[in-house]
Amino acid sequence: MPKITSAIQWINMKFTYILCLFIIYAWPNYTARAQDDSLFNELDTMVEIDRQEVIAAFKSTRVILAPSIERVKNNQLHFRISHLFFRINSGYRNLFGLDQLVNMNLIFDYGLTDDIQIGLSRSNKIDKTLMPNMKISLARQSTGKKPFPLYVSYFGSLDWKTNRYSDKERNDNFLGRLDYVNMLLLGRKFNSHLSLQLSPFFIHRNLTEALSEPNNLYGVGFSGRYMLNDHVSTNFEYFYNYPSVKTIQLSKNPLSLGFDIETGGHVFQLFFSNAQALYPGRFLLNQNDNFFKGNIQFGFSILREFNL
Amino acid sequence: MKKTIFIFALAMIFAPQFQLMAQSKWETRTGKVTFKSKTPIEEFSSTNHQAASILKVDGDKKTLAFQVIMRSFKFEKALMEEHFNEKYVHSEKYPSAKFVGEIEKNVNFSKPGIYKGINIKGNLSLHGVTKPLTILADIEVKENREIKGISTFAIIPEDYNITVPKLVSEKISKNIFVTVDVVYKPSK
Repeated sequence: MPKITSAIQWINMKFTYILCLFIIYAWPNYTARAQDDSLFNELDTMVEIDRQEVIAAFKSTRVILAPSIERVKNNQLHFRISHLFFRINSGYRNLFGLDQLVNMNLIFDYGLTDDIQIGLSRSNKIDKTLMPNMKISLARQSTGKKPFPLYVSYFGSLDWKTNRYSDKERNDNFLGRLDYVNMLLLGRKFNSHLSLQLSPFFIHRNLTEALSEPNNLYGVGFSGRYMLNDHVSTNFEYFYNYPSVKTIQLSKNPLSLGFDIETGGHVFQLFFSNAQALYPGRFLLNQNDNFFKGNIQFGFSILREFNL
Repeated sequence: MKKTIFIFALAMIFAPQFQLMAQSKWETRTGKVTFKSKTPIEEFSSTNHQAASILKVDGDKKTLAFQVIMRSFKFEKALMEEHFNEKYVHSEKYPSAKFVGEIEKNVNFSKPGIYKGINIKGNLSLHGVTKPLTILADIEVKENREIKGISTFAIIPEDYNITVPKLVSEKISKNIFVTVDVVYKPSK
């Protein structure tokens, strides 16, 4: 060992000692602190999930009147009751339309599996239509190692008009009582607030009201929701009909705006719409009033979920 | 002088290796975490069978880390599950809950034995809030080197900024009882 020649050299040497000691003692501490992070990195890889469905794109199985990509889950039953009143601009004498019920629907939806939902609904007017229907979830928007960007569902309804008609020929024409509603639902939840949906549809009517009316109708729906807080969302729904039905008097596309209010087991949907009926097989026929002239109706749905 | 530095350098290089030798690790990805809420009106519980956890023994330091994916909590009612994720724990924003803690008492994990009422002191992160939490656990070191741990503790949702709407506040208890039940396997 070299002889210590000066105080500075001595200090220098001590300093090296201290530094070395410090490193040795600090090293384990340092690794210990880094360990928590590395443990969680390890845990992260352990819990990584291949595919996880994005949930709650809409508060209910309908955006407002038309079906949403949400479905009733396995062995659950939804009971929905919907009302549509008369025009708001009919004045205070009619309590802004509430005096007169234009349409009332009773709806049961049941989840056969997590992906297949069957339902039965009935409308009181205009034709006492009974509607067995089905919604099949083809793909779900999901995150994870193998994500998928969209919800894809099919909705189909067989609208059977059970009304009694005075015209005997019409009354006896069973096939003439049937309409077929087909809808492809494409949706995406963009974030926890905003979800949008595109719904191309195709309707076939076996029998139309007039000869000039086409049997096939098609178009596309645009709808969406924006969450205002954890319990309330505001929704919109608009259907563009490919213009093929000039003969129908009012021929306006249905536009609906509304709120979803969710309270535990119930969802209340309040809406304003120019639609003249509550079910797609009817309001997509474009016999709707002019929304922007104030011919708007108030309506609401109450949804209750049951566990079977 | 050079020799001293050389010795220290050697010591430094080998120090972590010695640590590695004294270190052992156990892990599981099928831990069971259950929570219960009980009020006179409504009682419900939810279980997660996919809790991941690592137990690391490093000399005297025994660290325990948990990660629980919120979405893996299963409920009897589908709607409740959706509300839990969407309205209470906001699992899109805060996908998992984490706990890291240290086992305080001297538990010898290399020998079979049963230890009751062991203190584990650490931090729980839930819903974006991290709070200190000390839990009591029963630990059993089995013959086949597996380690079984059970613990029950209570948490208050409000502490973690999880708000319960007034409308349902009578249906959800102030204290949520959490039970953790894990069996660790030694990892290589």
